Amino acid sequence: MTAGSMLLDAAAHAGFYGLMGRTSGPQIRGGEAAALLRLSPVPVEAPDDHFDILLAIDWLNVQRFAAELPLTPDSLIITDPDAGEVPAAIAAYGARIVELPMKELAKKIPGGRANMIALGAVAELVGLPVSAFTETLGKALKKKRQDALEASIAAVNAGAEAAKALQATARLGVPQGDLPPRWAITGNSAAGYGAIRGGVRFVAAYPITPATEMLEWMAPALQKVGGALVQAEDELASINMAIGASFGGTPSLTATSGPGLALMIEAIGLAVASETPVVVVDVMRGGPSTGIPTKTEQSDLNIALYGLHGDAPHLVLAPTSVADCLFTTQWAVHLAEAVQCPAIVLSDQSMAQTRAVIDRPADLAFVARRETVSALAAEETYKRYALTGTGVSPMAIPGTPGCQYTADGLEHSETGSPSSQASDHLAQLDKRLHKLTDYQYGDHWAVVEGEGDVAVLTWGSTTGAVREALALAQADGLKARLVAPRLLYPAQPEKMAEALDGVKRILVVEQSHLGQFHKYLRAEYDLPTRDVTLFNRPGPLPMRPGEIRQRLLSWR
Amino acid sequence: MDSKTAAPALTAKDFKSDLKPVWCPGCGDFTVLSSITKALAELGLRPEEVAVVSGIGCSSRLPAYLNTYGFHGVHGRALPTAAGLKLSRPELTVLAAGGDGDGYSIGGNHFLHAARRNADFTYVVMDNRVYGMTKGQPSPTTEPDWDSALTPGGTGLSPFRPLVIALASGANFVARAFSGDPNGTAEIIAEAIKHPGFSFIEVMSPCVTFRDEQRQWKTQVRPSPVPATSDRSQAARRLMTDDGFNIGILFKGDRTPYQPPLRARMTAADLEAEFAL
Amino acid sequence: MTGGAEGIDTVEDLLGARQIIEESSAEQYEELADSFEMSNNVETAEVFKWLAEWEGEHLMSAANGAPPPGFQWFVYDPGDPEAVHYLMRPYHAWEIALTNEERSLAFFQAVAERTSGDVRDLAWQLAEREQEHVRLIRDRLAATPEPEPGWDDDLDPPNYDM
Repeated sequence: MTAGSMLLDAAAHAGFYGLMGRTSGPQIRGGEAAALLRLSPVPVEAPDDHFDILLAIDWLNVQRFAAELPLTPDSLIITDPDAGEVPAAIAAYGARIVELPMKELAKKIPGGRANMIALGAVAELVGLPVSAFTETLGKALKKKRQDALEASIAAVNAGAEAAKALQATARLGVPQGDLPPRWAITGNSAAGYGAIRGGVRFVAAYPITPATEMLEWMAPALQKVGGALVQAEDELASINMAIGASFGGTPSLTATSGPGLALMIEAIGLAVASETPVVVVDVMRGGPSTGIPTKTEQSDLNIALYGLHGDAPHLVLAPTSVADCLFTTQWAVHLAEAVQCPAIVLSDQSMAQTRAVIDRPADLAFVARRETVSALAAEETYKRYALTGTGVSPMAIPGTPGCQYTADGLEHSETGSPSSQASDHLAQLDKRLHKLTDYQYGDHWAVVEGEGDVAVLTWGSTTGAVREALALAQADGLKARLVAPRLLYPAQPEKMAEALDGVKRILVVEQSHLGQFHKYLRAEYDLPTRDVTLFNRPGPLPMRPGEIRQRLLSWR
Repeated sequence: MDSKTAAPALTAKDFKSDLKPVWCPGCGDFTVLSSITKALAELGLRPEEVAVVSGIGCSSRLPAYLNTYGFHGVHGRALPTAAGLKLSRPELTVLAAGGDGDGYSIGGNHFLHAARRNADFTYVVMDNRVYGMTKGQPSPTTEPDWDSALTPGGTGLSPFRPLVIALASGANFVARAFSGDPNGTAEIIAEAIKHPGFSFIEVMSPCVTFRDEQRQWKTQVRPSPVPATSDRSQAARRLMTDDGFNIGILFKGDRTPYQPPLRARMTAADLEAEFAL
Repeated sequence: MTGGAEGIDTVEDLLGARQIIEESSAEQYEELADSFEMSNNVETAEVFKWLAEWEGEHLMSAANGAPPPGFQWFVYDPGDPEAVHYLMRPYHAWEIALTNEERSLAFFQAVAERTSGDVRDLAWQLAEREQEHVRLIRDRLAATPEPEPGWDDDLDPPNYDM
């Protein structure tokens, strides 16, 4: 992992783009792990169809994720003679196998490590100068002694030297000139940063894979900007603490994964009924139940959309890339505060734990701006749940004199008094629905790109693969549109109709065994054609650009 | 606020709302409500500076009967909701209120961790040893042989011991009160609010509808024979011989309340530096 | 459950005690009226409503005093779950009120007996007024039919089998 990060950083410093995902076993320490890198002179958002180089320091338990490491006969497998035979599942790709005695080379350097030898070798093979590592290594080893840095540089050099004898397969080429300002960021950090930029200053959460790193990034960041992150005793406490803080006027958030979201559902309904803004980031992983905690899937769509009891309209959003985790989370904070409603943001393990080199995202105007009440006329009675034109009622923040009220999960009248009357129930249900459906969400509701009478509908992290597939297909002469809703609820039927106007054929791409997104589209939208094909698969295997392109081309 | 603009002192009545309680006539919770309003008035607080958070159950209806800010949330979660509010708005006076089922059963885990976390708010539990709103099922504090439709012949389970648990979990103030003594209860609540950290008050509040045997309580309760101690182990020893009828403040500790500082050292935009290449 | 006459030594003490007796009575009658109304026991709620207003009228004429510390007053014993019953009849409500007025009368008499001068004069004055209240409530009680036996039979118990 460390070597993978260093390679990405070094490539970034040399002017390249790239991303690094990861796959790992369940062990706490010392488990099998693979760093999955893609490097490119241009920005990339999805894993490629296959890997050009597979470098194995050892082969322990590789069968557990061999399927996540697709190779071709043109790929290069680098193996250490000490690691034994290349396992059959890997050798079956027919790729060229070369031996590099990484462990032995490392032994010759005092303090040398095999992973630094590997790093040097890969750098040499793809054409990255060793000098690119000096800064990266210096940063990574800043807490260690100078001799550790020297040993690492020596090992990288030795690895590069040894690799010169190997025939290179893929060269990175030349980086673009005039690079814009760039960031290296994970989806988890991007979502955390988006939340803080949107105004979140209180987070309560319970550790859960793969959302923990988002929380770990936010904890010190919140301290710096005058907020706080509280580690709660469980997810029930997390969401209710966030709701309590938001009731107090502080934009609040919690982050979790599927099992935690399931526990939070009752309280999200409370936030709907009491009209308390709160953002819940669900970093999806394989389900159901404990499922596959360390690996990705897009299978929490149903619970996010429809998991709440009662008629409980709320916001559901999904970022479409690592960079978009920042945009969408920041927008979600803005929307939740504007319409006084919970927002569930569906990220997933693949983008959350992918570290990507991206162009610096534009500054966004979206910040928390809750409609509040500061004072009342003398004889006026404050109505927390007043029926207004927009459905949004100004909220009194505790401390405001004369506006005391009790927020309630019980159905209530306009003043907030509990009511079981049919008329109050209908009026408040209407209010809570219309404040969502009448809101003007603008163009951000979806990624809409391309033209043609074929459309690919997808969402979340598979958007990048679809975008790349469409670019590939265009080179083959096929024009198609990409529509990836960022705002999943409330549905935007008019905008969807416009985006799909003239479309004759639709491919739905998603990473869910049940085809949850496909069912959602059929339920919430009138698609312009009955010619709809579903291309779905459960996690953890990513949807790759090449296979999506194949689907499209096979239609001709 | 200087003396010229100081608002006139408020009375207990100023802390009551116009809403009529759904409680049964004679319910112990009426006097707990009065005790809370009395304590708030005596502390010289303004209604807008106070927020009372609750879960679900008869006694959890209490916030709506107050003229303070209130949050009537979901079953068992009053403590985390109150903690979130207090930690993000430390200048507010925050109370959590509810019953024995809400606090000790479905919310039991939060009780442990609220005591352990020691955020500066007060938790008032109106314990009548029964689920009233769902019409008469045993709660964690119900006697093992109390017969009910749901548990014929009784639960056979030892009752939960709230003071023991609160003390062992780190609560910084532990007391028992009796709703039949509203003034005494008001004094304890006022002390609890003033005391830093997590303050816990178990109020014995009889249920007139499902537990008429609780009429005995008024003859059984007695003022605690010893004053409050600040020694946790001494308080624990006292609880070993406690029969559940000693009324008063058992323990006043000196733990520092948990409160993140909430002081900004930079802007959100400044955080960008760590991502920039 | 009631304030004793012991701490009452000055006119201020006595006026303060009187204020607490009247305020507490008015508040608690109102609370009872509300809870009987909530239980749909309209007749009994009406009696308590009347009592609350009646006590409220006295309240307006009450001069401000300094209540002795710890002095409190209850129209019924809040520690007794049997003090009120949700099916109780107006007759029972008048009984509660009569007991309350008799207790205030006894209180003022006790104060008069253990004090002298202005305090004693005021205590007698207040006791005389309570005497009238007792008479009035006794008349009301006499005019109210005694409840039939079995008034507390609960045809709509909290737990019932469907």
